[in-house]
Amino acid sequence: FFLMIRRPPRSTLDRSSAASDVYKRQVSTQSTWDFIMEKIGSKFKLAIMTSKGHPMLKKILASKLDTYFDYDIVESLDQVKAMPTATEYNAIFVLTVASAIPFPMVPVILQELIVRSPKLTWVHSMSAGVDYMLCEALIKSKTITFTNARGAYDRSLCEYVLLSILYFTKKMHILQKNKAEHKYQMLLVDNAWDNTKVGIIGYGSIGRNTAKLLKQSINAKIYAIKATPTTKPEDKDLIDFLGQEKDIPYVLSEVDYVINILPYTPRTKHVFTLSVFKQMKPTAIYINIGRGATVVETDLIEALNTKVIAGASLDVFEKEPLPSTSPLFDMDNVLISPHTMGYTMHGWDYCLSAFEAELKNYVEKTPFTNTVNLEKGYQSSSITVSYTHLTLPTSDLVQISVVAVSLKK
Amino acid sequence: VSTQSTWDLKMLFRLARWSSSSNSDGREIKTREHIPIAIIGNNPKVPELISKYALDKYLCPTYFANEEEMMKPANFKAALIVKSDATQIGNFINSHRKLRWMHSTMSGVDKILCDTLVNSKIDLTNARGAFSYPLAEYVLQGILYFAKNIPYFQEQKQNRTWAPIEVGYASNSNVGIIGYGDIGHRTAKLLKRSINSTTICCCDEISELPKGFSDSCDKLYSANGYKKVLRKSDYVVGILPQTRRTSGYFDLDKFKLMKKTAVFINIGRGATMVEKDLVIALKEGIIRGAVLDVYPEEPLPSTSELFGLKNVLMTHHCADKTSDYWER
Repeated sequence: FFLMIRRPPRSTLDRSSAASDVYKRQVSTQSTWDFIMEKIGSKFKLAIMTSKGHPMLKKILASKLDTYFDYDIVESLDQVKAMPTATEYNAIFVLTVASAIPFPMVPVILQELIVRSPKLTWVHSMSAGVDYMLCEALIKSKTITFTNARGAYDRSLCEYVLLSILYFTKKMHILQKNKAEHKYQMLLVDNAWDNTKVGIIGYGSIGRNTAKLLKQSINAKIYAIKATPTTKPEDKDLIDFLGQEKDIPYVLSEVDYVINILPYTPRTKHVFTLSVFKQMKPTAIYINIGRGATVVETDLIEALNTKVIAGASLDVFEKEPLPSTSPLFDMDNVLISPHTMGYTMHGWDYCLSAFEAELKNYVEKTPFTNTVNLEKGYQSSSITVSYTHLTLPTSDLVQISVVAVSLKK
Repeated sequence: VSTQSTWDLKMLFRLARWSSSSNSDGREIKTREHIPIAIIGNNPKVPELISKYALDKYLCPTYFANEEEMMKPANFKAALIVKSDATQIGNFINSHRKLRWMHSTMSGVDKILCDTLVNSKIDLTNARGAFSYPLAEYVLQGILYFAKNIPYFQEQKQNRTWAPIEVGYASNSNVGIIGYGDIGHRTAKLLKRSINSTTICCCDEISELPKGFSDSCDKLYSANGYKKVLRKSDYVVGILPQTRRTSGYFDLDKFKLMKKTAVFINIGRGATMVEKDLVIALKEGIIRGAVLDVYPEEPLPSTSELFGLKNVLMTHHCADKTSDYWER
């Protein structure tokens, strides 16, 4: 009786073929991904440059993205050199942060891999900054599209900038020093609302999000410096002054907080020298969340010692890890963090979503969202310069070992 | 501070004339005579600002050189308390029988309350709302400081080591405000605007709720609902005034109710927390850290254990001491 009265399964209902296609897409538990893969069919070959225990690999497997590609894990130079001269790789995912591959080896391995991959069309970097992985083959190639995770790590960096601004506005550096000396002394502090002028040198995705947060929280005046004068429509409400390289002296003389978000290219190397710091106000604070190679660190130390600027908040340094002999550790008016302000507990999720977005573009053959423009500033003639910043002490090679700290302790 | 005073008819008429002739855009207020007002406490800023904002058109301020002069009997009906303490106020009231109104330039009035003032028919007004915004920014700063694990990085800096760890977000956190009034309202508004936090508030006097509190407060509990506030908050902001009921409010039991990752921020009065219990809570990891602007004893003696703790951000009652303090 039950079998008689139950309705037949829905897929067999009488409908036209086009409509049933639509119906399948809506009702079926398959995602749009599978629908795309039905069209395209075969998987592509991906080389992931990382080490085997990397947390991102687990996430990729958990999100079942590995059904769209066959992947090989590339761990070392020896492994690449043992490969045949023409491999089948269509794409490379550079996932070297928090892996066992040391930073100086990344461009070397990448070079060898690209040379051996004639079918390569796409290289994706898990980080937003790509200076540490540039190699000649990547720059000179005309068939490879290079994408990065632009915008994935912005929120955390914006909050760090807001923290630095409020920290120095409320004179915390002096108060913490008093605390260390067991001294109780009242001070005059400042209000940040409507009272702060912020200069963003290197206005991009991070700059835009920082400007948004600062406008919302403390209504800061934003002076932005960009290489080109192109802006998005939302920048009209955010930026109060937009300039280029020639406007840097004007901006530095006006603002109370200078935020350096410059990428490391041959053009931006050692932009901040002592003469540039002298153009800043003596009460100004310097915040660096870009790259350490854009500053001459000895000049920065001298500027802080001779009170040319009032303080600094540094997340990146010329040499990472910062050697323990550095005088920056002794200064009270300097906030030091070991290049972690972009890496949060949800960092891998953002990394994965950035990769997923580009993967979708790759598979659907639509234009990528975040391509790195290698022609602008990454010219091969001075490419050897970018290797020198990776002269890390060979004994302690940089690993950002991301450890989930139990906050209960 | 509420009052049940009865007004003289004369005063009533004067007030009626004042309110009918005053304008909000600052045109001249016409009064028949200047109001004599006694200024208790010396500060050079007061005459400066009175002349700057042309308040001496309707005020006749009297400054006293020393305490003896102040205590001479006179006919003042109004007084401005710039800096004083309870005994001085008591003596002043006893020698001035015609006082009707006293205004305190601070928001916290615990230092100037005395029995004579409470039992008299004098109206006491305070600077409620004047210092709310600087304190709101201070709370935001404290929240970001702990969200980004800065105490850990400062320790690494002292040891000259490079040890990266993941940092957290300040956005979308739960902020609990105990003692929700005007400061709590402005703090909650700022936190919502900047880091999109969820605010859970605890307020005892419903009549003290500020206008527009529904914009800033997501959940509002009465004084009995403090457990819910403490259990859910990642950041607990204490803005309690110092009264008999709130003295020693934050004790070890309350700290144990808070999350282990919670940060305690005190911008109310130091007497509302028990310093010993706070030190124990911080040392044993019952709470993650504290941001303190006020202390039970001010100035805090250098023997206090709070100075030695690494997860405490200490400021010395200067969160509201901005350069525009007197203008506010």
